Amino acid sequence: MKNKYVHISFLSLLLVAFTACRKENTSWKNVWIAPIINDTLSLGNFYNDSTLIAGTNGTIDLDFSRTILDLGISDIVKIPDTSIVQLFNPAFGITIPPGFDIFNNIEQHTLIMPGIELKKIRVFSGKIMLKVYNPLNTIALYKVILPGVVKNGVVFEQSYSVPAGSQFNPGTSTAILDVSGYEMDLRGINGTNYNIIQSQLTVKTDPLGPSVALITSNEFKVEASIQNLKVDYALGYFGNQIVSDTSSLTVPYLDNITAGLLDLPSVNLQVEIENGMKVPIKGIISLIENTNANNQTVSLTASSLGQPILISPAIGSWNTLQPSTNEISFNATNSNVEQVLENLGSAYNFGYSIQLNPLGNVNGGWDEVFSTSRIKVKLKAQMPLQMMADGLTLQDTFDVNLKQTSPNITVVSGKLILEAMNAFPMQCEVKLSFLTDQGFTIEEVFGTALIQSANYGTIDPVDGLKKKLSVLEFVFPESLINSIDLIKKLKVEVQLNTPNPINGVNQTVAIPYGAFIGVKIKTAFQTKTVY
Amino acid sequence: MRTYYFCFILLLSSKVNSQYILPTLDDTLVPKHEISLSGVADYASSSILNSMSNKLLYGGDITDDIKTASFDKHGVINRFGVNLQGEIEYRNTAASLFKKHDLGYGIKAGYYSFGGVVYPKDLFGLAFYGNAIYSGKTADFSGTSFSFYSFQKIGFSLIDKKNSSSITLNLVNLSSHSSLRVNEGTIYQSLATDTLSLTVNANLSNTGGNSFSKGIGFCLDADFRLPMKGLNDNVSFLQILVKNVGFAFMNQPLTVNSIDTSYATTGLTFDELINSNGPLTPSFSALDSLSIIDKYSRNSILLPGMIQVSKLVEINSSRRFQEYYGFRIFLSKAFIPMVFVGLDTRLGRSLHIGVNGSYGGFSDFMLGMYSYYKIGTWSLGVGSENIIGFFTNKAYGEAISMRLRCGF
Repeated sequence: MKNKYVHISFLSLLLVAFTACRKENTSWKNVWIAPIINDTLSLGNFYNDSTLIAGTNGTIDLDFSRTILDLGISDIVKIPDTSIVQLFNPAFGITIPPGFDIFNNIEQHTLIMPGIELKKIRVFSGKIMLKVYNPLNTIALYKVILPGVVKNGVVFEQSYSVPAGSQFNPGTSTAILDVSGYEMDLRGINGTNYNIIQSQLTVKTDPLGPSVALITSNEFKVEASIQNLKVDYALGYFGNQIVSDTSSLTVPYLDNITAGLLDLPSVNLQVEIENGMKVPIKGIISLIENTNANNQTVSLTASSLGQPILISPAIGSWNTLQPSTNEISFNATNSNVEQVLENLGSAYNFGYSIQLNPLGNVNGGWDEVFSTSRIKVKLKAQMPLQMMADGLTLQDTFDVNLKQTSPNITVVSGKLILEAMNAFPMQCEVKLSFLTDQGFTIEEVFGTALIQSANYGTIDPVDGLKKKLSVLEFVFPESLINSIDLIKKLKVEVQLNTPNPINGVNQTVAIPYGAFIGVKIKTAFQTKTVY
Repeated sequence: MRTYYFCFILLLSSKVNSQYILPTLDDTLVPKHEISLSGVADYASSSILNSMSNKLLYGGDITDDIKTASFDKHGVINRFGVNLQGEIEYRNTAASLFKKHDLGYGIKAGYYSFGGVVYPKDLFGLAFYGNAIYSGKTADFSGTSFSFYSFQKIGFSLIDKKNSSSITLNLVNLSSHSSLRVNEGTIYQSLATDTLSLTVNANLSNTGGNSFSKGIGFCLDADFRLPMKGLNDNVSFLQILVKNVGFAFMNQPLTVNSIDTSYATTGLTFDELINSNGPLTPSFSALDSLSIIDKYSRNSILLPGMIQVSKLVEINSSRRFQEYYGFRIFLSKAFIPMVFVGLDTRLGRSLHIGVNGSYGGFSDFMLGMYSYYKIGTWSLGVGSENIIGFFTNKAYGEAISMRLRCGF
C-alpha cells in the first residue's frame, strides 16, 4: 500500500513538472515617443536660384529672371591649332668658317579661320611647340623671331644651340614656348593682310667650332606648332556667325504641382538681348513655351515673336565697355503670357538665334571683342508674389524603408503628431499615401485637422508676421502597420487654399517676406514585445 | 502514512514546492552506497511581484495593472535572479580508496543555469512602459548589471567516511554565457517631447556560435562538516558547503559589443530625413549610427560559485526540535549575502518538517518550509525557500527543491 502511494505521488510530480514546462507567449506593450522632424520651411529654399526674391513692399517677388544665352570672346574667336614649317637649302656648296651666317629669312603663315579676318589678337594662353634641325657636323646657332608678336614692346625671339648632326641624321633641339600675354599683329609683312603670322629664322655656325662643308642638299628646318591659343582681345571682322538654339529652363518645385489652380496677377515678361561686343548683331526670339507635370504645353503667342531685333555695337573698351541692349516685352495685352506662366510647369523652352554682322563687314574690319565682351539673352519676369490658390496640390514621393526587423518587438499602432507654426496666408491639407514598390496605394492617411492659414492667427510682434499654430495627428491604422514591410514609397500631398478668414472663400493673397512654416513632428508608437 | 500524505498534498497543492538547500539534513547512518537526485528551481526578486514574474516565466499578457503593481514596488536598486539546477550523485563508502579505510569516493553530474540582474527602477520603466512616461524627466539606467550562465559538470569526489565530508573536482562544460554592464545609461526627453538625448556606455558579452560547448573548465565542490558542541554537550555539525567555484576557459574568445555614445536630437530636417543616408532610406542602419564596436576578448570567466555555512539538522537525533542557521553567498552581483535561521521538527520516526526565514539573496525576506520523509532505504525531501510565493501574487518569487536519495 505504501509503495502504491509513493508511485502515485511520483507520477503526479512528473506530471506537474512536465505541464509546468509548457509556456505560452509572454507579451506586453510599450509606448515610445521621439522627435522626428524639426525643420522650418520657407521660401528661402527658392531664394538661392533667384526664383523668389525680396520685394520692396515687404512681400516676396516672383522672379523668373534667367540668362539663357551668354557668349564670350572664346565662343566668337577660335584660333585653330596651326603647324608652320620653314625650310632652307643652300643654293651652292661651300666650305664655311666658324661663325658663318648661313640663313636669314622671313616667312608668312596663314591662320585658317573661314569667314573671320583678324588684324590683331592678344593671346590669353597658348603654346608653340618648336623643333629645329641641324644637318651640319658642327654646332649651329638658331634664332627664331616672330615679327609682330610683341610683349611689353619686345618682339618674340628665341635662340637655340643645336648640336652637330649630319645630312641624314641632323642634330635637333626642341622647346615649348609659352606665348601667353603676347599681342600678335596678323596683318603680315606689308600690314594690309589678315590672319597672317610671320616667322624669321637665322642660322649661324658655332664661332668656336671648325670649318665645315655646306652642300646644297643640307636642309635647315624649323617646325612650329601653335596649340591651344586662347585670346582675350581680337580686332578685325568676325564674320556673320549665327548662334541658334533652343534652351531648356527648369523652375524647381513647380513640377510637384499636380492639380488645382493658381491665379497670378498681371505678368510682364521681357526678353532682353545685351551686346557687349563692338560688333553689330541681330537677335530673334522664336519660341517660348511651358510644359507642366501633366505634360500640358502652352506656347507663347505674340506678334513680336520671330521678329528680328537689331542691336548696335557696344561702346568703350576694356573696363569702360558699355553694352548695347534691346528687349521685347510680352504682357497680357500683346500676348498670352499669363496663360504660359499659370500653366505651372517647371519646364520652359526658349528658342533664339543671334547673328553677328547681319549687314556684312560694314566697319572695314575694325570690330573689336574684349575679354569682358558678352552677348547675352536674358529673360525677365518679376512681380509681387500674389496668388489665389484653389485646391493647388503639391505632391512629392520619397523612397522609404520601413521594416519590422525584430520578431520579438513589433509596432502595433502609432501616430505622428505634427505641430505647425504657419506664417503663410495659405491653408494646407496634408495627406500621406503609403505605396508599394510598384506604386500601389496600401493606405492613405489624412491629418486630423488642417494646417490653418496665418490669416487665422495673430501678429507676432517679434518679426511682425501673422502666425497660426496648428496641431494635427496622423493615426496609422492597424492594417497599415500590418503591411509595413510592403511600404516602399511615401507620397506626400499638400492641397493649398487661400481662404478669406471671414467667409472662407479663396482670395488673392500676397506672400509676406520671411514667411515660413515651422514643422515639428514627433512619433508615438506602441510596440508589443512577445517572446 | 496519513501524515505523509497530508504533507505531500500540502506541498503539491502549492505547485510542488520544496526546499532548496535549507536545511541540509545530516544522517549519521551512512549507507555503503548512495544514489541521490536533487533539483532546484528558484527565482526571486527584490521588487517584481509574482503577478508579473509569473507572466514573464510562464507566459501571458502583462497588463498595465500588473506592470504598475510591480513598478510601484521598485526602489532605487533592484534585483532579480533565477537559479535552476539538477544533480545526480553516487557515493560509495564501502570502498577504500587508495587502500585507505576512511576514504570513499563519489561521482556526480549536474546541470546548472544561473542568472541575475541588478538594475535601477528606470530600467524597468523603460523596458515595460517605454519612454513615454519619462516626458520631462531623465530615465537613468546606469549601473545595470546582468549575467547568465548555463553549464554542466561531471566530477569525482573523495569522501571522508568518518564525518561524510567530501571534496569534488569537476570538469565543466560551459554551454552559454551572457553578461551586460551599463556603466552609464540615460535617456532624457523634454516635456514637449521635442528633445531627446541618449547617453550609453555599456558592454555586452555573449558566447557566439551554435555549438553546445562554448568553453571547458574546472570547478570545485566541497562539503566540510565540523563538529561543534552545543549547550547541553550535544554535538552538532557545522557544514561548509562550496559548489561550483571555478573557471571556464572559452573555446573561442567572447564577443564583446561595446557602445559608448552620446546622441541628442531635436528632430531631423526634411533633407536629413530623406537624403541618401536618412532614416527612411533603404541604406540606413540604426546600429551604424550608434557606433557599436565589436570586440573579441576575455578567454575565461568565473563561474557563479556558491559558499554556504550552516548548522546541520541531525535526522537521527532524539530531539523533537532542532534549530539551524547560517549564511549563503553566490559569486554574483545580483545575489546579496543571505542569512537564514530555521526550526526543524521531527514528527514520528521518519518525518521531519521545518520552517525557516531568510533575508538576502535575489530578494529580501523570505519564508521557507520543507518536509523530509525517510522510508526504508529511500528518503525524499521536498521544500521551498519562498513558500509564500505559491500562495499569493504579491510575493517576490517562487522556489522549489527536491532531493531523492536511495541508500543500500
